[in-house]
Amino acid sequence: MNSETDTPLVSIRELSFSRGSRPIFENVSLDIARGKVTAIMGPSGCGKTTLLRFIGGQLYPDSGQVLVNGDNVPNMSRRELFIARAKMGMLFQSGALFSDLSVYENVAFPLRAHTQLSESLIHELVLMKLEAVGLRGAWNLMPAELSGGMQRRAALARAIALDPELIMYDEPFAGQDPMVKGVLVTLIRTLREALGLTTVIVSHDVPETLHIADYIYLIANRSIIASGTPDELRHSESPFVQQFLNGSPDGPVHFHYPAKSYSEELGVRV
Amino acid sequence: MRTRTLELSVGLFLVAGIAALFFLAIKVSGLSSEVNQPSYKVYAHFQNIAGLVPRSKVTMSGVTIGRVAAIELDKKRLNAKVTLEIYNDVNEISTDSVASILTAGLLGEKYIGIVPGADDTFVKNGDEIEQTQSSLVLEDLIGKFLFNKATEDKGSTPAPAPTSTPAKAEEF
Amino acid sequence: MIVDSIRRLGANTLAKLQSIGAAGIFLWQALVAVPQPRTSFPLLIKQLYAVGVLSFAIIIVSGLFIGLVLGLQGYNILITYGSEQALGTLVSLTLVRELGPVVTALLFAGRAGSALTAEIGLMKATEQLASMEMIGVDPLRRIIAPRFWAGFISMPLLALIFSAVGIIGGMLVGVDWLGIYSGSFWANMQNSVEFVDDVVNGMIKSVVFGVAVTWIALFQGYDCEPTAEGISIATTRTVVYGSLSVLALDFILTAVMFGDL
Repeated sequence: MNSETDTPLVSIRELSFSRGSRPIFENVSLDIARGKVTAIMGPSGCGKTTLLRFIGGQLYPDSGQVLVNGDNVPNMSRRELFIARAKMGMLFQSGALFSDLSVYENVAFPLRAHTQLSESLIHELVLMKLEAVGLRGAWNLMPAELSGGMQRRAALARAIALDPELIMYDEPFAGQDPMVKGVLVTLIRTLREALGLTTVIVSHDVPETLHIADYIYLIANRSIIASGTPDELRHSESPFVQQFLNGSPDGPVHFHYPAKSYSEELGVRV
Repeated sequence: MRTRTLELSVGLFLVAGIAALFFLAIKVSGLSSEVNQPSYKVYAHFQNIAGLVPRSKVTMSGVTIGRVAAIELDKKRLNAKVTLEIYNDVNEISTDSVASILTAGLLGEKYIGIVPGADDTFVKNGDEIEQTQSSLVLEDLIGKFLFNKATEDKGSTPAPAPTSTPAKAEEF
Repeated sequence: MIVDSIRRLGANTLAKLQSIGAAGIFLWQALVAVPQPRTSFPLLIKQLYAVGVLSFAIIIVSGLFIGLVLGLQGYNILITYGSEQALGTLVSLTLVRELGPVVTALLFAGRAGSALTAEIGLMKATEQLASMEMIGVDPLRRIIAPRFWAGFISMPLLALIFSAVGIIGGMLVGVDWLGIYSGSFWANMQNSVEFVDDVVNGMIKSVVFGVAVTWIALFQGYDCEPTAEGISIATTRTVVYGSLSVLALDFILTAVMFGDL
C-alpha cells in the first residue's frame, strides 16, 4: 500500500504524560516498524496500556507527538479520528465483546459502523474472520456462553473485521492456560505473516513475547530503559533487564518493601 | 422472533400509558364536559369573596353554567372584582339577576349561584351583574347568633334569630 | 487543624462541583446527538422494553396496593366527619398530584435506575465502552442516549398507569367493599380533579423526575470505578441520590404548581 515501507507506521516523539500529579511518562520516544511485531514490556503499572490509548486517540498526552502514518493523532478532528480508527484494530485485555450482541453481531459491528456493505457481503466477511480464528461454528453464541479463550478469539475476529493496518494487543496472554496461549501466539504470527499486519503487543509475559516479537521496548520508571531485538535484550548487561527477563525476585527492584532493620524491629541487639 | 415480542410488549406498554391518560382525563377529571366550551365574560363586584377561588363553579338553579376566571382587587371601588366566564349557550341572564357566593355543604367549597331576575335586557360580554351578595363569613354568623342569644336571655324582646343575612342590594 | 478541615471542605466542594459539571457535559454530549433513525430507533425500542415494560409489573402491583390502602385509610378518616362521599376526591387528588409521580419515581430509581447503573458500570469495567470507542462508534450516542430517552418517555407513562390503577384500587375499596355510592364517588372526583391543574401538572412532575433519575443513574454508571466495588457503590448512589432528588424536586414543583391554590 505504501511505497515507503521503511518509515515506521507509528512514531511516538517526546511524549510526556501525568495522571493528576503523578508523572507516567517523561519524554518517551519509540517507533513501531511496519509489518513487524513490536512488544512493549515492563512491570505492572508502568503505563504500557496507556501508550496504546494514545495511539488510538482515547487519551491525549500532555506534550509530544503521536504520529500514525505521519498524522499527529492528538490534532485530529473527529472525522479524521474516525477514519484513522478504521485502520486500527485493538484486542482488549478482557476481550470486551459487547455482552448483549451475539458473536456474529459483534464481529459485524465495525463493518456496520464504517461501511455500507450489504447484508450478504457482511455475512461472508464475518464468517471469513471467524474462520480465521477458528470460531466459525460459534457464530450464533452469546459472549456469556464462550470460554475465556474463545472470547479473546472472537474479539480478535472483531478487531480484524475491517482489515486494519495496525493491530494492538493489550496483555493478550494474561491469565490464560498454555493451550490458549499457544493458539494466540499462532494467530498473532499467522496474521502478521499472511496480512503483513503491523503488530504491537503490550505484555509482561516474558517467554511468549520473546518468542514472537521482532523488537522489544522495556519501559520502567517513566521512560524506556532498554530496547532491541529479543536476542539483544537477552544479552543485555543492564541488571534491571536481567531481573525482569529472568523473573528474579531481587535485584534493582528490591524484594523487601522499605522498612527498619530487622534486628531493630525484633528488639534484638546486635 | 425475539424482536417481535419485544416490539409488541413495548407497543402494549405505550398503549397502556395512553389509556391511563385517557382514563384520568375523562373518568377522573371529567374533562370532556368542560373542554373548549366557548364562553363570554361578565363581571361582578363583591364586598367579601372569602373562600372563592378561580375556577370555582358558576351555577344557576344548581346547574353549572360557567367558571370563575379571575379574582382581583378593584383599586378604585375598593372591593373584589370577579370575572365570570359564562358558557355561550346560556345567554339569557337578565341584567337584574343576583350573583351570590354560596357554600357547597357545611364546610364545602365556595361557588357562585346566579338567581335570574325579571328584566328584558340580558348581560352580554363585558357587562356587569350589579346585584351581588357576598360570601357568608362564619364568624359574623356566630357573632350575630351569640349576640341575639345574649339579648334574649336578658329578657328583652327577643329579636328573631336571623337564619341568614338579608340580601343586601349593593348599588353604586 | 482548622485550616486543614477548611481546606478539605473546599477540596470536597470543588470535587462535587467538578462532578456536577462532568455530569452536565455528559448529558449534553449524549442528547445533542443527531439521531439516526435507522439505528437509533431499534435501540430505543429495546431500551423502552428494558426500562419501561420490565417496570410495568411492579408499578401495577404497587399502584393497586397504594390505591387500596388510600381507600381504606381515607374512608376511616372521612367517616368521622360524615364526608365519606369525598373519598373519590381524596384518593384521586392524592394519587394524581403526589403519589403517582413520586412513588413511581422512587420505584423507578430502585428498579430501573439501579439496573441501568449496574449495566453501564459493568460495560465500563469490561472495557466494552473503550472498545466501542476504539472501533469509532461513540458510546454516548450508541449506549447512553437511547437509555436517556427511554427513561424520559417511560416515567410519565408509568406514573399515569400508577395513578389510574390506584384510583381503581380506591374505588374497589370504597364502592365495592365499603359501600359508598358509586355515582357520588365518581361525580365528586370529577368535580374536584382538574385536568390541566392536576393531571397535567402531575405529568410534568414525572417528566422532571424521569430526567433526574435517569441522568443520575446513567452518569453514576458511566463515571464509576471500573471494579466490582466501584459498581456496587455507584448503584447505591443511584438509588440514594435519585430518591433524594425526587423528593426535593417534588417539594419545589409542588410549591410552584400548587402553592397558591
